[in-house]
Amino acid sequence: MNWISRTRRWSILVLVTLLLVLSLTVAACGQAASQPSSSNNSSSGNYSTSQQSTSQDDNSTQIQNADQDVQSQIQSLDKTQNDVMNSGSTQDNGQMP
Amino acid sequence: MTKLFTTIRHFSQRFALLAALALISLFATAPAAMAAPSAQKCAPTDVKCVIAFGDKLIADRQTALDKLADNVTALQQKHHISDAQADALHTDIKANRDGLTDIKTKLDAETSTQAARQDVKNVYEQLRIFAVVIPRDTRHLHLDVEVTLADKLRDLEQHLQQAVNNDKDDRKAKLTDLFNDYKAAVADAESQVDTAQAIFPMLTVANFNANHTAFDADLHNLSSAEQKIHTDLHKAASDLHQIAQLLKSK
Repeated sequence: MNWISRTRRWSILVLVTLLLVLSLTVAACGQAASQPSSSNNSSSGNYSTSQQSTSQDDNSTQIQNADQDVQSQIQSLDKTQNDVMNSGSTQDNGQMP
Repeated sequence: MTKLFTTIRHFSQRFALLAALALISLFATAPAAMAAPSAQKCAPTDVKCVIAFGDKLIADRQTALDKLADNVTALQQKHHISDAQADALHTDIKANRDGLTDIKTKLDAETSTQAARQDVKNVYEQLRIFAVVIPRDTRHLHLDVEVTLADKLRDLEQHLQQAVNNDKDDRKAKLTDLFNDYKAAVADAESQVDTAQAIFPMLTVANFNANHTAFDADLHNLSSAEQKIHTDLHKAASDLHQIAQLLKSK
C-alpha cells in the first residue's frame, strides 16, 4: 500500500512539474509573441500616418488631373457654344428655282 | 486751251461719279449674289436646271450634317460626351441624311419640272435641315457637353470636400469660399438642365411647319437655359482651377 501511494505522489509531483514548465513555456512564448506585436503596432501607427499623407497627396493629384480635364472640356463647351451661335435658321429660306 | 482743261475736268468729275456709283452697286449686290448662288430661276420646262438646283440644296445640307457628325465623333473620342449621347445624335443625323438621299434619288430621276420642284420643296418642308435639325442637334450636342461636365464636377465634390477638410488653417477659409461657390454653381447648372431637356421634344419639323413663331420661342428658351448652364459651368471650372492652384502651392 505504501508502494502504491508513494508512486501516486511521485506521479502527481511529476505532473505538477510538467504543468508548471509547460505554463512557463507558454507564458514565455506569449510574451515573445506580444513584443513583436507591440512593435508591429508601432510601425502600423507610422504606416497609418504615411498612408493618410499618401491619401491626401493622391487626392490633391486627382484634383490637379481633374482640373486639367475640366479645362479641356471647357474648350469643347466654348466650341459647341460657338457652333450654336452659327446655326441660325435663316439659311433655310425656302427659295425655289 | 482753257476750254480743253474745262472739258477734261468735267470728264474726270463724271468719270469719278460713275466709278463711285459702280462701286456702290457692286458692294450692294455682291453679298446677295454670294449668299444666294442657288437663287437661280429655271425655265418652266428646264427639268435639268431644277434638278441641279435641288442637288446643290441637298449637297449643302449633307455637308452640314457630316460636319455635325464629325463634331459629335470628336467629342465622343475625347469623352466629353457619353457613347449613349453620341449614338442618339448619330442616329438622328443618319435619319436626316437618309431622308436627303431618298429625295435626291427621286429628284434625279424626275422628268417633269413640276415633280422636280415638288422634290425641292420637300427638302425644305419635310426635312428642315437648316431650320430645325442643325439648330436643334447643335444645341443638343452643346447640352450633352454641359451635362457630362456637370456630372464630372458633381463627382469631384467629395474629393474637394476632403481636400478642404484636411488643409492647413491659414488658407482653409479661402478654399471653403471657393468650394461653396463651386457647389452653388454646379447646383444652378443642374437645375437648368431639366428645363433645357424638356424643350427638345417640341423642336420638330411638324411644330416648325405648324407655328414658326412658337418654334422660335422654344429655340430661344432653350438657348437661354443652355447659356445659363454654360455660365455656371465656367464659374465652377474657374473655382476648381483656383482650388487646384492653391493645393498645388503647398
